[in-house]
Amino acid sequence: MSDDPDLGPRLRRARLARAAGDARGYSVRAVAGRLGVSATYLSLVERGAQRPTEAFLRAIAADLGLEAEALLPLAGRVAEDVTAALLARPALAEAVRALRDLPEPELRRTIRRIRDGDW
Amino acid sequence: MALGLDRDALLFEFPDIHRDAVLRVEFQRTLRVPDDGKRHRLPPGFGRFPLRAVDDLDPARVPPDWIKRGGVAMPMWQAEACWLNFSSPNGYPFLLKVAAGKVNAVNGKPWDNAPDFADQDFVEVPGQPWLDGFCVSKGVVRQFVAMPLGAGYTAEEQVTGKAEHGGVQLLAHPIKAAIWEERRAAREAAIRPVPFDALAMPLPPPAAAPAMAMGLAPGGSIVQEIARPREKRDAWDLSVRSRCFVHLANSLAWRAITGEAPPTVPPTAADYARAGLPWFEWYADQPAKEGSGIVAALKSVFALGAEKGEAPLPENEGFDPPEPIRLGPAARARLDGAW
Repeated sequence: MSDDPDLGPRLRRARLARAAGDARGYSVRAVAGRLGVSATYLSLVERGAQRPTEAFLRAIAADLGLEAEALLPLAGRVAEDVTAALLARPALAEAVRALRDLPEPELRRTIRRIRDGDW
Repeated sequence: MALGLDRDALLFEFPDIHRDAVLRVEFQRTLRVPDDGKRHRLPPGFGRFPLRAVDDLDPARVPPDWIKRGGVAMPMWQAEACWLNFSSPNGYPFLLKVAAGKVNAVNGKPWDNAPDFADQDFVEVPGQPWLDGFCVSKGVVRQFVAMPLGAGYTAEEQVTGKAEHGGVQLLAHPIKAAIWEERRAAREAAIRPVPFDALAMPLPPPAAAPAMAMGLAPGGSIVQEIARPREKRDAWDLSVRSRCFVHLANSLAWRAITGEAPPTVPPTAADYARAGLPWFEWYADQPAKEGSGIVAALKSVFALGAEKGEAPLPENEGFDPPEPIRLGPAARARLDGAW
């Protein structure tokens, strides 16, 4: 799926793609109902007229099978744990800039290293 | 060599040996098959167990020996079952040792870092896509079932008499890079297109613990073959290895340790069968290894519970097995996320 630069259209397209196989299950009303928001709110988000919360983005990402981490910046949100990490260690912002252009496979390698201890 | 964690999968990587040398291991949630003396088909996968690096956890909340051993932690409910899913995304061959409580799951012997080529104590990946339990006899394993360490049920306690380690231990060796390169060259020289599976297997000739710590005990029987090795002993690069200790935490304690909710309790086998959902069967094209006399002599959780006058397995109800779905190596995890 090519990525829309804007959050609303991206969510709408993902929802419609699902609706193609299950029109009833992926109507605005049905999705909003599952997420515990009003249909109006979801429509506003899809039209870009409402900036959604992190919790909503994570819930709709899970519902539509999208990657939440990729949606958060589109809404101008930084994940709470990332914010907390940056507050605790401001040098991490520099690390993000340093890793910005690293190719994906190398980035993955830096993601988490597991230490083997004594056993 | 390096050990990484990618979305709840362990990655054993050997970039210094070869860029293709990547082995993935994940732990799949599953049903516990009834411990009723019958041999069951392969149960489904309900998605990966969460894995967290021990070094990411609050040191005040984890036992000191976890920090000493390093590795990762994973939550399991008492009497919950799991199976291990192995893959090599580039087809690069690996020798993989698997133990529970430092008792080797393939030959039942106490842990040794060195592979035992005389009495096979490892699996090869590609070749062995899954491991569901301790290998007790040719074509039969006893399912990995989590029990509290110290209660006497784990394979470790039955073999060594001690509740010292718990958890799961993994050790991987890659094949020598020169052998992999040779095969790659031969493959590229071949004119006809080769299916991916053949690329992945290029050799045609078959050849006192804290209360929250858990260990794996032998549960019900499952039909599963441990493939005999295809590779020659000197094909392996034994100069490098990567190991991981997977600590098993009781799901009840998982939130206190990690701040996250553990996965839900899986359905019972009987409920699952009543819902008409599938079981699986896999035919390997390799000869199977004989089982281990050591493991075969162990008591299953149910049998030992009966001796002790305890009922350690809730809902050990049997069921009428449906016709299984027959699989190739890639297809079993298809129920991922459906529960």
